[in-house]
Amino acid sequence: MNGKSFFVDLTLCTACRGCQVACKQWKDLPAEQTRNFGSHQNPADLSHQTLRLVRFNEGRDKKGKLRWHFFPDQCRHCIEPPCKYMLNMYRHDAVTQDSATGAVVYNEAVRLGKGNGLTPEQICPYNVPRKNQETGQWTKCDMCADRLDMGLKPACVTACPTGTMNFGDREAMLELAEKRLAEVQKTRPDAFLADPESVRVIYLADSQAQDFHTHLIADAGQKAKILAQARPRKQSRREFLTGRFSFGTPAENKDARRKI
Amino acid sequence: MTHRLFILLAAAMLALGLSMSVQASDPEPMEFYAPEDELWINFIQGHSDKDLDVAFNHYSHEGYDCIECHHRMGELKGQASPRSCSECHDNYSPDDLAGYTSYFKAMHKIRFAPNASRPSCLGCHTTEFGAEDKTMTGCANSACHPGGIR
Repeated sequence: MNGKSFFVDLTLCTACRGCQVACKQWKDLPAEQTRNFGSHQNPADLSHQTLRLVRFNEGRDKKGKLRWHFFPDQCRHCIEPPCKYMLNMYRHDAVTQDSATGAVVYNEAVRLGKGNGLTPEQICPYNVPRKNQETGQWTKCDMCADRLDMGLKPACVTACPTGTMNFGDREAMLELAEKRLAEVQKTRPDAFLADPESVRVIYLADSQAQDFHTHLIADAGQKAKILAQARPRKQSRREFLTGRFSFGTPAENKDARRKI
Repeated sequence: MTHRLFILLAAAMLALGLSMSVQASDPEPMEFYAPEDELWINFIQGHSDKDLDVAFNHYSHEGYDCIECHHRMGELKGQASPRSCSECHDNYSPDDLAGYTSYFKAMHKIRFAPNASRPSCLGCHTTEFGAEDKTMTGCANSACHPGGIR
């Protein structure tokens, strides 16, 4: 039994946000106070009340044409879930992995104390879980475990009108992903599947990973790559202490850093 | 003249005596030879059939005292060389993390004040490099797990 998986075809997403709304409705989560931060993306980030968020990022393709990259961000339900291992060090029953579906589910009754300063990025390579700062409870998508029990698909998948969101047995989803990848690669050779071996939410992207926010793939250098494009890199403490001083362009320094 | 010579001699004797007493109170520092490079640590048994191994170099940690990681060395009173982490932390399951025997916990637990003593690998990296440096404190595709966690 290999459990369940999602296949998310980003080439079909129109950012209607049906999935985002369906998630809120099924989970009965309240609306958030938001503000315009210069994007149609709303709200600005995931939170303990927004478990699913369609991210909007603008970028240019190779010809310089402006493109919009839509990225419905959610928990990937990792095969080896680091958040489970990390959070269970503090409370042994904080996170469980459902043996039938493979869903990684947080125990709603577990609350970590105020002194516990774990950040989302410390427990998740995709920066997804969020902590309710008032209660100390960590939350994220649970693959609609209650709906699966009733034989339904997750709310986001049911709501998707474009065929972006697919859900089913892992083998079937991997097969579908490979098939669709081959199809897309005919016209867009850069297309790739994001970490298909590691996660149960397999994204098909047709542009570089850093075009889709910071964590489409689990890559520690992803954020740095995006920041390096935006502004010159500062001297890091580690480089300073080890006597590696950066005088060159950010691109050169990035290469030097990789050689370590 | 002889008076001055006597004072000089006394001073010299005193200096010699002091230096000898310092030498006497300072025991020979213990020398240990650590296995140096590319120590592949592969104890944690995950759910996939892939390895979750980490390459550890004593060489890149030579700025630290042995006892900072081999924290039970003090009890040995210098009688034996440092032992492998796995001799005490011998529970290699990432699912059962109770008690000190958990190997995963020994490597990953970030302790927060006021109980911030005895850092793990990840705890020390977080203090040294800051949580923002995902190459050194990150999870999948960091310097520790460059091949991802799968």
